[in-house]
Amino acid sequence: MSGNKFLANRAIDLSEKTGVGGAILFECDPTKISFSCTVALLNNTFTGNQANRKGGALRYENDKFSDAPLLDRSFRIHAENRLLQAPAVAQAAANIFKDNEAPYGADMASFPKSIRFVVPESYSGARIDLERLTLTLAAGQSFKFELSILDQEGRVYNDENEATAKIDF
Amino acid sequence: MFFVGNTAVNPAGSTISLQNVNVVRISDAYFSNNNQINIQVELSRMSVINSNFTLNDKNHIRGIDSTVTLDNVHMYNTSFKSSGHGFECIRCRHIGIQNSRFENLVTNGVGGAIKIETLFSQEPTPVSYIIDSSFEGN
Repeated sequence: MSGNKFLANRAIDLSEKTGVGGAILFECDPTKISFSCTVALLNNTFTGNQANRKGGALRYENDKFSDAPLLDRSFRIHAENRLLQAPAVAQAAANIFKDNEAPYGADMASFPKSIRFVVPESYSGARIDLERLTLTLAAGQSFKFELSILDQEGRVYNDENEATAKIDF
Repeated sequence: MFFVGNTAVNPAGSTISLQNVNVVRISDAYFSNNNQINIQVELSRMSVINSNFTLNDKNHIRGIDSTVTLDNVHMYNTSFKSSGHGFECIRCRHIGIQNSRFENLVTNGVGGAIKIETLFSQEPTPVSYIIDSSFEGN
């Protein structure tokens, strides 16, 4: 997908499947079909799109689209020889996102990938074991920490309403 | 060619229905205010060129197990019933869309403008593409 403009598209609904991906919703489960889920997204403009849950401009699940300058062979051949007729186009990869809106992922929403455990540096003497997510403190020492779910893009994933956290004292 | 105000009684009917057609080209056509799918193509290769689609109850174009290309197609101002879509392709072999506009296409569900489900595009068949098109107010 190249050189397209997505303007003021909306996905508005409160159910699970809709209300996501104001302009584009990529769903691809590579285990269900025998082909890969390769999508290249280059030089497109997303402006003023909106979703009332996640992914104001776009939402992807499973495999991410490619937006890297080095494209897969099939798309490069296609771009250079058949349609775009300019090799330079295949090298310029940037998509532009502007004024898109969603509670989570104004421009782009994906899915949870990791957890970030943040403890303020002011805790002198505290020992942090990041592998076990443990924070060892002196007796009586107050503490504060932040635990965040991050998505594929490293952004805070704030569309999770069912996860639970257990804290042992 | 004008296709306006046509009615198909069969719920699965369409204004134009094509099956097992090797190659078909629809050019300079105008579809408006029909009550079923405007064009349904199955196990065929179809290109639609320089054509306009508006005011329909169901999909403007639906491809099944087919190759479909759209060039300079304009779909606009349609509130679909029964989760219709501007362009829907199911298990299609190849899709090519260029220089087309999709405007104010509203559906109850996903894919007001386009819904592509299970696309088998792969080499040596030219990779499917959507280029130099605009999607506004869907």
